Amino acid sequence: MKKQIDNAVQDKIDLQALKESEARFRSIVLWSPDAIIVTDANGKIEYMNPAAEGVFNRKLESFIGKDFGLPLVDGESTEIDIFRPGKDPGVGDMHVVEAEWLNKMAHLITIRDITERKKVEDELRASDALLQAAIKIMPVGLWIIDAEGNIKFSSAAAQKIWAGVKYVGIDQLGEYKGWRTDSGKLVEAHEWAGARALEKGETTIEQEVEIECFDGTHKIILDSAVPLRKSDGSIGGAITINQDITERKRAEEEIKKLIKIKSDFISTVSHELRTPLSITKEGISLVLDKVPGDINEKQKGVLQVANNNIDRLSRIINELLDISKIEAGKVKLKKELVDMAVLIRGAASLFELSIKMKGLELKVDIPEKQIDAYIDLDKIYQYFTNLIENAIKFTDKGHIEVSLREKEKEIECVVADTGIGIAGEDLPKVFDKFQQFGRVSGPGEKGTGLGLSITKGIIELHGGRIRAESEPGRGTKFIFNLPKYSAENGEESIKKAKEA
Amino acid sequence: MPVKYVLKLYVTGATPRSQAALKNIKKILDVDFKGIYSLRVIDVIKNPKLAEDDKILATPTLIKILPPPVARIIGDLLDREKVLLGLDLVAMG
Repeated sequence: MKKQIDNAVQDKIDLQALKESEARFRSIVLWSPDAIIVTDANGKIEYMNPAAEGVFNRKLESFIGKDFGLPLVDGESTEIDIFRPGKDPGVGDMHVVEAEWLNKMAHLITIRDITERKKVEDELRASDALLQAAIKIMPVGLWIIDAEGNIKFSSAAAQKIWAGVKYVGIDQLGEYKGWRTDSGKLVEAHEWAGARALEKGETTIEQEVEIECFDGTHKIILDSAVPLRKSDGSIGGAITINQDITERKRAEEEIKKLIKIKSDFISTVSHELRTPLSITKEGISLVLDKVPGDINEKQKGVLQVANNNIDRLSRIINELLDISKIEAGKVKLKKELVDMAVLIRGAASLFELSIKMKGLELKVDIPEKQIDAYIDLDKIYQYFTNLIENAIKFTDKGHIEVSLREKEKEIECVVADTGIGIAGEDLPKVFDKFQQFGRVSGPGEKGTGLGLSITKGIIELHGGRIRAESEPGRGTKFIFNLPKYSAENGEESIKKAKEA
Repeated sequence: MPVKYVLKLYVTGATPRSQAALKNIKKILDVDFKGIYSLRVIDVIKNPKLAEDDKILATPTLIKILPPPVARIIGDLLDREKVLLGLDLVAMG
């Protein structure tokens, strides 16, 4: 009897303990943010917690007793796609344990909603893949260095530039050998752009270095680096970029050499041409002046044509010499202070007669005041008059207009005509050498096709610029700007304008 | 040989999980049931109605319709033994 009572008491105690543990279990199940599903041994749903409705985005009462499926998990957990009617599918992480549930074998399944995490992971993966692809196809070499200067990553292009890679710390960066192209000094370990980014937080953009690659060859690179900062602002590493410019450098040197050879050639040939030409001209002039004896009108006419062509030939030679000097940078400007208003007005009045004779009108729009420029008077005058001559040559009716404007920092001078104009496609080539197009030359002297490119060269040497505007059949406008002279800056203003 | 085994595989679009499940189940079926099975692949995104009718909660879910009894498994279909056992199938030969 006592035993029975004892047993009954013990049962009650056990029941109490069971109830307590069940309550604990219940609250875990009720408040868990994960879906918890209990199925029988065959996968039939016996219980689902409230969170399951959120995870699956629907009321689940009707699912009790239905088939969930036998959960198969290889390993600890497996990822499954969550079907959420009316919503994009989600991703879940499914855990399964076999446990006893109401005295039967059961599967205790938890499904954690990892949709957001997956989305972030996918986005990260996608942006990482993009970055990797970009690094792979970039023709520049990329290095990632950690805070200690250890090379953590080097792109294929980086390894190609250096003919290999050495994974070294900051003190051993001297393993990478290079000399600065400006000073010829060896780049010490701590002077590399990457080292300076790490140690001083400096950003270096395109420092030119001649490097000795690991296979002994030499290359010229542009070395750039930026420090990588951590969220607390401290330097956590650096990114270094190397661009191989060896070929470009070589090509530039080659072009410089070729330009010099060409200029030397032109100036030598031109000089050699001048002497026999002047002797020939002298001879023809003597015959025309009847020094060796009398000549008839017919003979005189023939010689006159020859004489004119010799003049034209010497003009061409002079222009060739000019352009080769400009291209070789050998032109020295003899600058002086000039009142542009006087200069332009004077040049225009010189053509008044020939303009009237051609039945055209000359319009002059120049302010009645002194407008100073610091220029080579002879050269500007020569090429400005060329512009007017050109305008007259290509205009048969209407007017030629010469104007001068004083702007904030420059002087703008315009020669406009109402002539035949220049076709749109030819306009950009108007300042190129040997260009004679569109404007069919009139009865006057044929040009050399060099005048405008020399004009452009001379104006640019002054720190100015020139451009052409034209409408076929309506006329052409040449507009050039020269830097304005001011007493304080004088030469400086021109230098600055040139740099700009 | 007539079709003796009829199965339905529910997947969700072309997620890596869907693709892996399809690859795995085909591998299993082609080894043991070549020529005598029919597998219908249903995308819950394209056929939500079918999925709802079948009370699909998550995919990949594989349902064996024939031979009876109907059985279903959910999760990864990597382990051949577990898949066959779960579907109450006995490999031929």
